[in-house]
Amino acid sequence: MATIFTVNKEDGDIIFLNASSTLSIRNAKDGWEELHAYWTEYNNVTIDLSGVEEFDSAGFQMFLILKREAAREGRRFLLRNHSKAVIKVLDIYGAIGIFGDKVHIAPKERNLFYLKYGLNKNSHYFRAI
Amino acid sequence: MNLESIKQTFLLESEELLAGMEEYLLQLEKDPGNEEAIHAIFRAVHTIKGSSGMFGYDNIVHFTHTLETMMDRLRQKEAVVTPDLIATLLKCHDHIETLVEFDTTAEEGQAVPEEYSQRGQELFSELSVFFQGGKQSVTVKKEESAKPTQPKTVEPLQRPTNGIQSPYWHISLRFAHSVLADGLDPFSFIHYLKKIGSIKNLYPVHDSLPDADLFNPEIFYLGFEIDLDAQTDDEQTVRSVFEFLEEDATIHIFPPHSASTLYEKVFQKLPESRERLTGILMKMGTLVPADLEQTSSDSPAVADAGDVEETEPKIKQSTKDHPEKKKEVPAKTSGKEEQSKKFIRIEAAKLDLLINLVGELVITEANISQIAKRENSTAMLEAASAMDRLIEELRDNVMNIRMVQIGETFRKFERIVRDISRDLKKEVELLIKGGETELDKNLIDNINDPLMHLIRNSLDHGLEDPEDREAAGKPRKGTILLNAFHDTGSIVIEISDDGKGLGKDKILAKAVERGLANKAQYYSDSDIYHFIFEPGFSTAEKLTNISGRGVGMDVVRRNIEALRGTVDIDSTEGKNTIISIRLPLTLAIIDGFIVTVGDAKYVIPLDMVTEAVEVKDIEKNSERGGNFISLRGELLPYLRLNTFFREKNMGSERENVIVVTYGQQKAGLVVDDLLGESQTVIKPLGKIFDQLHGISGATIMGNGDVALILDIPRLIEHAINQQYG
Amino acid sequence: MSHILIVDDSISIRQVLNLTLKGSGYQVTEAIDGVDALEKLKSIKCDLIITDLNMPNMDGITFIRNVKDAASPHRSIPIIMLTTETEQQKREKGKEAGAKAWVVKPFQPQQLLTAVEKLTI
Repeated sequence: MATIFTVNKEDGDIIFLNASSTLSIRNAKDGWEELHAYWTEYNNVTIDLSGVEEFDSAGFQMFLILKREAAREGRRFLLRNHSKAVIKVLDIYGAIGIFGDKVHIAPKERNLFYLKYGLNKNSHYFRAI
Repeated sequence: MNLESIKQTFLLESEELLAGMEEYLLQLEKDPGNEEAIHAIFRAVHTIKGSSGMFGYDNIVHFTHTLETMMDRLRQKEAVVTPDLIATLLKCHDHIETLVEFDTTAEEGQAVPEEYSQRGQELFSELSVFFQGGKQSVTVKKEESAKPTQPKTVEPLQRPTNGIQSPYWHISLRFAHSVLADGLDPFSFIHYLKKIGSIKNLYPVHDSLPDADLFNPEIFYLGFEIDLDAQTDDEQTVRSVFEFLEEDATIHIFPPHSASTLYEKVFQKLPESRERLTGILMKMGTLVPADLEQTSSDSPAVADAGDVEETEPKIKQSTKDHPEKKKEVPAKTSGKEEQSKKFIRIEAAKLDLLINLVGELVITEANISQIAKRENSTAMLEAASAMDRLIEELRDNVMNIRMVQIGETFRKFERIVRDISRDLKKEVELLIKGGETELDKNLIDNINDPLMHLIRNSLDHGLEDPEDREAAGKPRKGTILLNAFHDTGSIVIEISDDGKGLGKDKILAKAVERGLANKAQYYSDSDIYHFIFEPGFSTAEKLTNISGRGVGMDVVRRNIEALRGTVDIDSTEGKNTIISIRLPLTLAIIDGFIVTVGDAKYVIPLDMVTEAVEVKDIEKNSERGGNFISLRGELLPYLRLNTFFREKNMGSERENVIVVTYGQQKAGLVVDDLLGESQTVIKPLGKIFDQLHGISGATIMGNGDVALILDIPRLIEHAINQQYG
Repeated sequence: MSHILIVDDSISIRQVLNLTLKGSGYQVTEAIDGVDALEKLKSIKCDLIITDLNMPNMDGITFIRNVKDAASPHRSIPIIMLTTETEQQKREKGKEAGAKAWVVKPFQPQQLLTAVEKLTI
């Protein structure tokens, strides 16, 4: 089984993971299996997304479900160094601000994104739950 | 590789296929039961048809299409292979050869000789004899359509006069669990919506997303509610975006101003409860309470929406509601002297690259400044500050390059006016003023369509026939004037004509008839003229080929509003009509003051900042226990932004207060840190935001961080109300 | 940049598709029939397959079934079928097999690009 998330470092109940180049329906099953295992084992999970080249709705859904669980349980699920492929999906789904992670968009790439709705942190994604 | 060389490939390939076809035909003659041969012949014909279609060789497509059908019937044993049949098929083979040769060598636009199609018909009737049932059974399908099969169309929805207020298309999507596994990603379809419009809002319905333990990552659980501002009136255009998805999704499309009853009907079909769905749509701003009132009772609608019957004609107010629109955009370009008219043509992409590089430069410079500060080197700090000034100048100048004279856009209409007036048998002169006025390239690109529509309107409805003009004591030749000029931080574009003007009474009568206006109420001229921007208003009465079809004035208005502009009409009946479009000078650039609140950065428009002060123990200083601070004896209401935005409190002893002013009102905003001034470009946010959260837009900072722009008027209001509320 | 596999026995169709797609920034690999395509899939990371239905050796439907098989590592790759008006039945079979999109030949380049764009990220 290909390893989709590799451990960068761990610090007590916090773990820092690096995501591989693909987080999509192609490897969603394996990816989720790994991620869910980390999520069960550690209280706080942070993923570095800088290497993600392929990201889709399947990847988004995984993050969404852990973001929601983190919000409910007072834990942290953080995303860092979003790659362009990831931002593109979060952008359309209005989730850039909603996920609450620090997002950096290189000046070159600004025009690629919409950034129209959903930059809000306190948004409707989790409030109703 | 180019098209010409592919044509050569096509020729060679066809020759090869035809050679194969001939060989198999001869084999078949010897061995009539050879099904493999029949199949190979079928495939040869099929392939030639397919590739000739790609080159637009319709005559080959027509012929091979029918031949293919017959070969298929031969496969189904509807005919017996006889030497005569083979002979005819060989003739068909030769005919294809002739057609291929003709098409690949013909000059562009050269007509196919009549004898070819005659020959084709002859061959078909010859062929048909071999098939059961004789001639009649051979159906020659003449029209080969290139269109992909359309998804099943839905009855076009009548736009009800009592529809909901939202001017946007609404799309409701729920997906089959298997959609991702089927290789269809909802994301790419939603992304594709950008091609036909702009997504105003998107609400992810995640109600069926299970707990992590039960989550199957290959199943898609989400649904979406989307507001789309599309430049179309045609539901099919919107629906076609979701082609291929029809079997894997439940798609409901609501044209702008659909009846709320239509929404109610769809609610019943969706998995979520009606309460949940109305809740979502209200949060999105798709529905407002007044919309729902319409279905439930006759009682007058409440709140700011006013009387139900008069909810639509509120253009002026709605534009006032956008705080950005009030902001004066600092003029970056006006007052240019006449320069020598030496120009070079620059590819827009190169310009964008330049702007991006300047952005990078800004970041690098910030870095250098930081290092200088850390090293505590005065000399280096001075050098960095000098560099900073230069970069700012560079940035202004680069932004300036994007400014383009509008003259060229205006002049493009000369030809159009000439052609259309000829068609309409009218005499028209187009005058252009202010062609040297500059505006941002992006604006120019986007203003073209609205201008075109307005000019067509003037030509068609505004200007009279020469005879009528003479009878009215006017010169035979009508005039359309395009004028552009700067006016206090905006650019104004006027389209005026000396035609018959707008009939106020007629418009008002129609507005009343359509339930847009109330007979008893007083309307100003401008209010009345604005009715023509209502959906479907202007096109209903006179339909001609020039205007009055396709997009209406409502689309013009929406396009202009999308550019953060406004449109106004003035007219004197019998004399003239003047339409003024007012646009921001450029992509809205504001000088902002950056602050941090918790982890996040926010931008305050600099022209609203009066001062920044450091206050110790704010709460203790508060007078009368209320949220006031005393600033040099003046009582100032204040608002803690970290409470307001639910950021964590840094809890420092001394706190920064930014004093902001808007109109006559003043308030203090308590922030965590001051980061200083910066020029930023506004990106407007969706509707939810600027109404609920004290935020008027977003910007991307020099270093790439996303920062939100504070909606100062609203925050001041909030600070003040807090005292008494 | 999405990588697209074109499967068609006609070289001129492959070339037209190749030209159209490359012109729009896609990476393209060509295969001449189903067998060839399955072989090519082993060595490339493919984002989308465009396949003809009527081909020698392994026809389009069999190819689609192979790709979409529950045990196939490629089953999540979207497939566009190139069909003709006369291939209604085949198209239905292809849809059952798991190819959800199709373009009817002859088509304008834009029609194909539209379909491609909807199926790639």
